[in-house]
Amino acid sequence: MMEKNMTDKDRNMEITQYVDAALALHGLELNEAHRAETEKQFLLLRGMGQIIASEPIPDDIEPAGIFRL
Amino acid sequence: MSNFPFTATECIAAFCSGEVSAGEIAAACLERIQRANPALNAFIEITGERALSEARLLDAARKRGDSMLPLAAVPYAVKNLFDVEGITTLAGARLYAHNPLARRDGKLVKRLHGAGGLLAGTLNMDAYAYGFTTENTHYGSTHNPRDLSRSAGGSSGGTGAAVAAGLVPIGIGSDTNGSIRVPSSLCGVFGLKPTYGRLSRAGSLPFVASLDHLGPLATTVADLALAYDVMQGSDPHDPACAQRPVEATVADLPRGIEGLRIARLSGYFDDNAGEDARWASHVAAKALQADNDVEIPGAAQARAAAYLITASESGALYLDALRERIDEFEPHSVERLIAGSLIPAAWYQRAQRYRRWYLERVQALFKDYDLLIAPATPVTAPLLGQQHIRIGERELLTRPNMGLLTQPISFIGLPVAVAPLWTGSGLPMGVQLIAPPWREDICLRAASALEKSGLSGSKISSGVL
Repeated sequence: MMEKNMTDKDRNMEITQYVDAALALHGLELNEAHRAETEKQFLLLRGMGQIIASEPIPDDIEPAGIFRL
Repeated sequence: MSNFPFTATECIAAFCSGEVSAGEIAAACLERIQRANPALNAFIEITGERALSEARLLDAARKRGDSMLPLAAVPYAVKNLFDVEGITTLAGARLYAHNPLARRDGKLVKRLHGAGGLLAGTLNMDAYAYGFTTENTHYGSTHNPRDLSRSAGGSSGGTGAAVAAGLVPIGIGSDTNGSIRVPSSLCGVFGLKPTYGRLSRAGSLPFVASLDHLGPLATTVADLALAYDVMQGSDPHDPACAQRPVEATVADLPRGIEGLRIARLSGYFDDNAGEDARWASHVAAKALQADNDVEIPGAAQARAAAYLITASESGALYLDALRERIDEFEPHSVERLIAGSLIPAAWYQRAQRYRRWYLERVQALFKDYDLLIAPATPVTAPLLGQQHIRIGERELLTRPNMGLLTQPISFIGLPVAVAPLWTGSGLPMGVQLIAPPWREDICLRAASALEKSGLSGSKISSGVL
């Protein structure tokens, strides 16, 4: 999900920038405590994204979308 | 009081035979709640007037000789995300405290009322249903009746505690990632998360639409099946509710595990289980004659995908309110919601693609097996305020990880019953009994077999603390 040749510091910087930009886009103005915890939670979510990305999915698998059995 | 009918089955029999009136059953239930709730904080609202009024109608109907209803004179209570006429639907959130009173009952409450149930109140939960411990900053924590210093689990913690304490024989909860199964396990009661789309969610407050399920918790398997059966039926007001006929389960319970091919889940479900959880899984497997251990491929990824979908959908749901009223949010989950609202669409899309692929692979397992067994929680009930749980050598945060073993199952909507076993410490540990889509009957038959064997039971004596 992230560029292969980035360092951890680069990645964290990129996450900080992404979180700040996305918060601004959403019109969410947070105090520093909320902002710092939000970034921590976002890093956790990125980790979840990386777990999913660790296993290739066949190209013909469509999203569940509106999930029905 | 200790000889008063308590389980749903006992209440129905005693009322129908004329041994007691519905009014007497309602009054006994309300007395139990008044006495025990201050220590538990399970109930947010006690609907005493309504229960007594419903009881009066039943008593009048019996006098007239009307035919008896399937849940006649059975007290029950609902998680406070269900609409109940005349009460504000809170979903455990101060954010909703000033919303108007609900003008009508939610669909499942209507069905329970129509079946003769007596509504005793609404129950505490994690705010928005986002949590596994029912530690609620604004409405207080719910205490586990088995040990008041411990969590009742969540997010349907009030429901688990109310049933385990013998206050009502049936409680109704919701389960997005484990919120029926975790409290069932930690409180030591039976629970059923039906197939996604089986029970109508109309008139309940959503959390994650593509993962939300509703279902019962109960004192016995017979009560669980009874409640489930009367709540079934299609409903055009819930777009996810399947157009399926009622498929009643009660009559099939005596069949137990006859003819079922059963396996125990290993791999991920052992790796993320503490000692008590692994013990419960093995004991249940032996009792249910599970011949093999099998692995679900991709369970870790499935859990991660459920986590992302939950964060993304709930973050989007609350985004407007986060902008305008952030100070009213539950401190335990406010940043989780904000972070979820920032998830890129590509991550969410991949999680939904994984979901479809994972479903295909798990369904393939059901060609060889009818039922799969796994622990319901990694550990027994943690202390309230406990920040970490230990699984083997690993120390994990409590709040997000109590659903480690439930999330990979609800992610694809499979039906699951939880049956409580009792560990050497005296605390309960539930096992998940997992069946193919739409086969709740199989889950309940297996739970009934465990109950009959004496290994599983809710250990509630006469409904009195």
